[in-house]
Amino acid sequence: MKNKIEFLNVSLALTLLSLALLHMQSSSYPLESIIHVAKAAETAEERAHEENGTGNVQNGFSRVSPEESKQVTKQSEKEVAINLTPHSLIQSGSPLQGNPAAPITIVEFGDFQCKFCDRFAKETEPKINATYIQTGKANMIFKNFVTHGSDSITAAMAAQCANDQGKFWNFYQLLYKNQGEENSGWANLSNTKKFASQIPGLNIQKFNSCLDSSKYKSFVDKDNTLALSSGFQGTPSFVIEKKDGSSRETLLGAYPFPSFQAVIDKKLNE
Amino acid sequence: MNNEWIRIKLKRDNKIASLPRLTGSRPHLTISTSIRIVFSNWHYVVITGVISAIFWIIFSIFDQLLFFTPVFIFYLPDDAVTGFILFTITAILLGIVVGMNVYVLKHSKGLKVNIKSFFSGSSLSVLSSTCASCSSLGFLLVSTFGGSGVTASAFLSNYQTPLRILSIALLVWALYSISNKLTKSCAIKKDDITKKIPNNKTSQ
Repeated sequence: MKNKIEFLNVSLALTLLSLALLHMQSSSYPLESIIHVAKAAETAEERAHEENGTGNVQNGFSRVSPEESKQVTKQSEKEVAINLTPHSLIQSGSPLQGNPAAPITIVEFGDFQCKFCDRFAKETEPKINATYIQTGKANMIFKNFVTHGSDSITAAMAAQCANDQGKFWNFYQLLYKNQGEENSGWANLSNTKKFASQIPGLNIQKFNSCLDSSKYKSFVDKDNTLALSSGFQGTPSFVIEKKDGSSRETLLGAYPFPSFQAVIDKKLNE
Repeated sequence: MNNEWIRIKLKRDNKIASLPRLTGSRPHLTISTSIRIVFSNWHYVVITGVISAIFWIIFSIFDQLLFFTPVFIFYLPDDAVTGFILFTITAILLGIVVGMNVYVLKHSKGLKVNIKSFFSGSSLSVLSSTCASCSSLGFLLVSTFGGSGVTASAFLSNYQTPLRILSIALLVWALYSISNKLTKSCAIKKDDITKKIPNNKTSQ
C-alpha cells in the first residue's frame, strides 16, 4: 500500500515536471513558428466538417485533431502570412481600435473567461491605448481564441454582435469588468444581454437577435482555427507586426506594458 | 527529565557539540528544534535558498509576473498579490523541506525520507500555480479530454487559492513529519546511550 502511494506520488511529480517543461516550451517558441497556414487550416477544418457531417463540434467549437494540425502546419507559410496581415484581419470583420492605417498592429488572441486576458485588459491595454493607439502609432485587433468552455463561446459571439454596431471595445471592457468564475454562467445568453443593455447607444433588439441567431458562431470557430494553426496554446497571445504584415513578433502571455513598449518602439524605429 | 539528563551526559562526554533540547510532541518546538539542527550547517542554508529561489522563479513565470524577454521585468498587478504571497510561502517551505530531507538522507542512514507529503504538497503547489485554462496545461487538458478537460481546468482555475492553501498545509505537514523524524532520531540515540549507562545512574 505504502509503495503504491509512493509510486503514485513519483508518477505525479514526473507528470508535473513534463507539464512544466511543456509550459516553458510553449511560452518561448521561435517567432518563425507563428507563421503557419490559416487559410489551409480553414480548408482542413471545412473538409473535416464535410467528412464528419456533424463537424466534430465540441463545447461549441470545432476541434482540430493533432494530425490535422500537423498537416496544416506543414503547408505554405506565405498563405498564413497573408491571413494574419492587418488588412485581411480587418476585412474579415475582426474588431479594430485605432487608426486602420497606423504603422504598427497588435493582434490579441484572447478569451473573455481567461484571468490573464482580464489582467491584460485592466493593466496593460489602457497604457497601450493611451501611448500608441490614441496617438495613431498603433492599432489593435482582437481575435477570439476560446478554450475555456461554454461561457467563452457565448461571450465571444456576443462581442462580435456588439462589433456589428461599433461597440466591441465597450463590450470588451464590460465583460472583463464583470468576469466571473469559469463556466459559472456569468457570460450566458441572458447575462451577456444584460451587459449589452448597459452600453449607451447600442441597439439592444438588434444585438439580441444577432446573439439568438448565433450569427457569429462560425466566425468564432474560424478565429479559433486561426489561433490553433498559428501555434498558440494559451491566452492571451499577441502578434505585433507592421502595417504590411512584416516584422512579425509574438508575445505569449499577459506581458506588462514595458514589454510591449520595447517591441513597438523597436518596430517604429526600424 | 530523562532527555535533559542525556543532554548533559552527551555534552559532558563531548559526543556532540550541542544537542538541542528534545521537545516531546509540541509541533512548533519540534519544527524549530529540527530547523536549528539542520541550518546550523550553512550548506543546508544554501540548498534551501537555491531550491526556494528556483521554485519562486517557476511560480512567478507560471503566474505571469516574471518575464525575461523582450525586457527582463517583474511586475505585481493588484489581482496577483494574494497569489504572490501564497506562492512565496510555498517556495520557502519547499526549500526548507528539501534542505531537511537532504540532511536526513546524508546524516541518518536508518531514516526514510517522507516523500508522501512532500510530493503531494509540491505537486499540488505546482499544479495550482498557473491559470490552468489560460496556459498550455489547460490546452493540453481540453485537447486531450474534451469536455472533462474543460471541467478539470475550470476547477483548477476557480479553486486556485484554496488549492494553494492546501498545498501549503501539505508542506507544513511534510515539514512536521521530517522534523519529527529528526528529533526522534535523537531519541533512538538516547536508547543507545542509556544502554551504556550503569543501572544505578539511570534509576535517578
